[in-house]
Amino acid sequence: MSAFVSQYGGTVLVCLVLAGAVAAILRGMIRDKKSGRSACGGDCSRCAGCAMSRTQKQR
Amino acid sequence: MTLREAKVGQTVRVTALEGAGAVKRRIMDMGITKGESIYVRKVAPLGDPIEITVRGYELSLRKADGEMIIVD
Amino acid sequence: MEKNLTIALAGNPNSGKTTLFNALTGSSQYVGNWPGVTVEKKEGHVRDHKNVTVTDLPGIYSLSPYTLEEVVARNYLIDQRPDAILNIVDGTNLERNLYLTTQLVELGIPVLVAVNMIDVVRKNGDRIDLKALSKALDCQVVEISALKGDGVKAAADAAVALAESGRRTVPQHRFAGCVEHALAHIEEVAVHHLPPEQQRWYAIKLFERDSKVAEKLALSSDVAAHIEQDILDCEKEMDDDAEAIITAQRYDYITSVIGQCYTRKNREKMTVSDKIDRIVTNRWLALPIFAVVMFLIYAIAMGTPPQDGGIGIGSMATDWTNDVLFGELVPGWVDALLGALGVAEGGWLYGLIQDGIVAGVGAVLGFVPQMLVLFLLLCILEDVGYMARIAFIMDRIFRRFGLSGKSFIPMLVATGCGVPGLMASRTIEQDRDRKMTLMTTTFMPCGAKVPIIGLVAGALFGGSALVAASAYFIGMGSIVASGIILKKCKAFAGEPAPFVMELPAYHVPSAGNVLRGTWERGWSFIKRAGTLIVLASILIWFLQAFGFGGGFGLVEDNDNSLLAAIGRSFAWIFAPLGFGNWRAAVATITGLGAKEIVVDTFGILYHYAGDVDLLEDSSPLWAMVAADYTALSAYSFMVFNLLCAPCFAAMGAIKREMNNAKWTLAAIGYMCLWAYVVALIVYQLGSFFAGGGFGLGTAAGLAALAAVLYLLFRPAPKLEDVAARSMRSVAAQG
Repeated sequence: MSAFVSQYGGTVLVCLVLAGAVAAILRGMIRDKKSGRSACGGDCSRCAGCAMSRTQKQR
Repeated sequence: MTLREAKVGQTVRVTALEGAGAVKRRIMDMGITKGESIYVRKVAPLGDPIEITVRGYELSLRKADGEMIIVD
Repeated sequence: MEKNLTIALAGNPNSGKTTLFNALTGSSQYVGNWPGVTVEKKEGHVRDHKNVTVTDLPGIYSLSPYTLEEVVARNYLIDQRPDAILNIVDGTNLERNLYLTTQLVELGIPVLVAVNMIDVVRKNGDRIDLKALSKALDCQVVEISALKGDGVKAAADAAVALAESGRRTVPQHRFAGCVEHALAHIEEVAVHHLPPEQQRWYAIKLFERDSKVAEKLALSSDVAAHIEQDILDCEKEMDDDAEAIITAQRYDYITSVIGQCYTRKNREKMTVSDKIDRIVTNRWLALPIFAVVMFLIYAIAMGTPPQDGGIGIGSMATDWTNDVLFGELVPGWVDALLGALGVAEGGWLYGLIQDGIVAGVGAVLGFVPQMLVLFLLLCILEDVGYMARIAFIMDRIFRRFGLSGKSFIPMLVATGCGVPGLMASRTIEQDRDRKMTLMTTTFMPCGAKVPIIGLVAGALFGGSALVAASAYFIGMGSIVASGIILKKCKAFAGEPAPFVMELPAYHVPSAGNVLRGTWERGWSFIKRAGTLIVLASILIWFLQAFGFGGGFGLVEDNDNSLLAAIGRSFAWIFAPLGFGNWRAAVATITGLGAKEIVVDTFGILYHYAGDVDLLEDSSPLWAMVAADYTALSAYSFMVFNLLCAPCFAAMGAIKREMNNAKWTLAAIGYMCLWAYVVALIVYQLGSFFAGGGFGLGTAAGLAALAAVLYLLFRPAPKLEDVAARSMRSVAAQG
């Protein structure tokens, strides 16, 4: 048993960390999608074009 | 003549407005009304649009819109 | 007693409304859409007055029925009847701003006027007599500088007090005799049943022949005819049409008000801004100056680094991040870490992490320095006010082809990220121009495409600024060319909308704004690298690590992998474009997830096994890519990926803005087709001129070129009467 752990322990650990990271990323992305945050990363309330608002000329 | 024909640096007075509907309304909403004076500040490269001063602020208009504004 | 109160924030665009709204509500904002329309609606609670809700109305010049924003704003005011209106007015532009005020006071709702930018007014040496203004308008008037935060709290308290008191504003202005006469008639016969404080507004709108109000009141034809007669009589007497009469008289009233309360210091007509503009927007110099400016920006961000004789600061840093940080250091640390944990070096887990995630994400993150420099320079240019001038200059060129300079703004925004660029198309009133803008905006190289440009320019052209800048100009050229071509199709033909635009003065860029803008974009890029691209890397690594080389399992050479098999099944499509190999094909497809993934894919598929002959000081990835492509095929690859369909996020934005599946497909299809044609022409004709013989491919390239030229130069379809068309398109807006 301890032979298994010493040989594969590191691998298993890294796998778990990786799986956890993937799960965290996925959860974060789904949460962003639900709250309407676009993939550009900014939130749409200040999305007059990310600091382009001064160039935004109205009619 | 129309505003389109005015030269840079001229100050002209609006005598009439042609056109109808949304386009004319927009021009009037911006303050270009009969009797108002307009100062022609700049004409963009290639001639269009033109930049004017009216009612104390700066505005850019197409030369085509300028055709609807009759001045003297 | 704490009743729930609502306050509406109304004012001209560019009057500082958004700044004031942010100052009033702090972080308690809620952003959504006005029901049924794509106009943004913002609401929040006033700080320290939790029972008071502020609704930010769209920036409007007037309450006419002609544009979406105005209709949304006035419907809110007359249907929801907020407890007070906080009218923000630009103190440096008082006359034009008060025009809206005269309309707001007619609604029968309490109005508080906040004169904004009072700091600029004072700096100019002008003076506004608040008491006189207040008396003339019968409204409380306060001074604020929303940007500096002066007077905002006082304004908020005053607005809340006004809302609580319910003291209605009584419009002080009167129109000419015959107009008042007609209004009185109209009030009597048509709106008598409405609450007294609202009758005047409705009467004036009916006098102006406002179609939406007429529809809403559903007058009987008798009454309508009666009113029409009154209006006609008045028009005859004043020798003008009803709308013009009202508008002109509002301004007459404002002029008299201004005379009483505004003292202007005499200043010279040419400001510093004008002097600069004399050169920058000069007839002959403007475009060359613009070309040189953009070239310089790309040269500094992505051009030859200083050690090789150029000015590319961005490249200098990127060379380090690519070659050293992600080329040696990080792989070294990861190797040490995994080794310490006992993860076997030949095993799949090691491969996944080192050759998948580290290689892929590292390849992408290596370009962060170039991107930050590029964004920084673009932000500075924008903050200074130069970009507004470009829109002004471009307007004439665009207009010749039936576009409006307003279509240029989404393009500018798209140089950061395509999604907000697409959303910026909402300011374009004409539906067909809007659709056309949506179809072409993502031709502009966005931040995510920078790694692609950087990779090609770096690996195959020695960091040439010309190649990098050409990406920008090809994007722009594609938009203009597409505009010309599409405008000649029936679906898009027609005169562009009137373009009435204000130019702000130049000013020194604010370090805060610029740094914040740069950081925002840079951070979103890095965040995406750490999330989406990590996932993509894992997926791609698995597909290229396993294959059927004699039974299913890990393969030595990813030429035998699953992914290679998949890629080969459609790589032939790209053969005429010069990159018909499976790696390029796969990278192009994965780029649909996010454009950075193209470089991420390359990073994984070209993972070196440590025994590659490296070029002197370029990264291993670059060396392998350079070995697999000719300059021309790499350039063609870059062109195709820059122009073809955007990432999923952008496609989603197109679908939302188009609100129509058919048009969305048309947009994406057009972009792919255009990308294919341009890459074809570039590669085939480029090969021919580089000495390759004349073959089938060259003929195809020539045919494509001929087709494009024909579409560009054929005569436009016959247009009907201009006025009729623009009237119809306004009506179609609803």
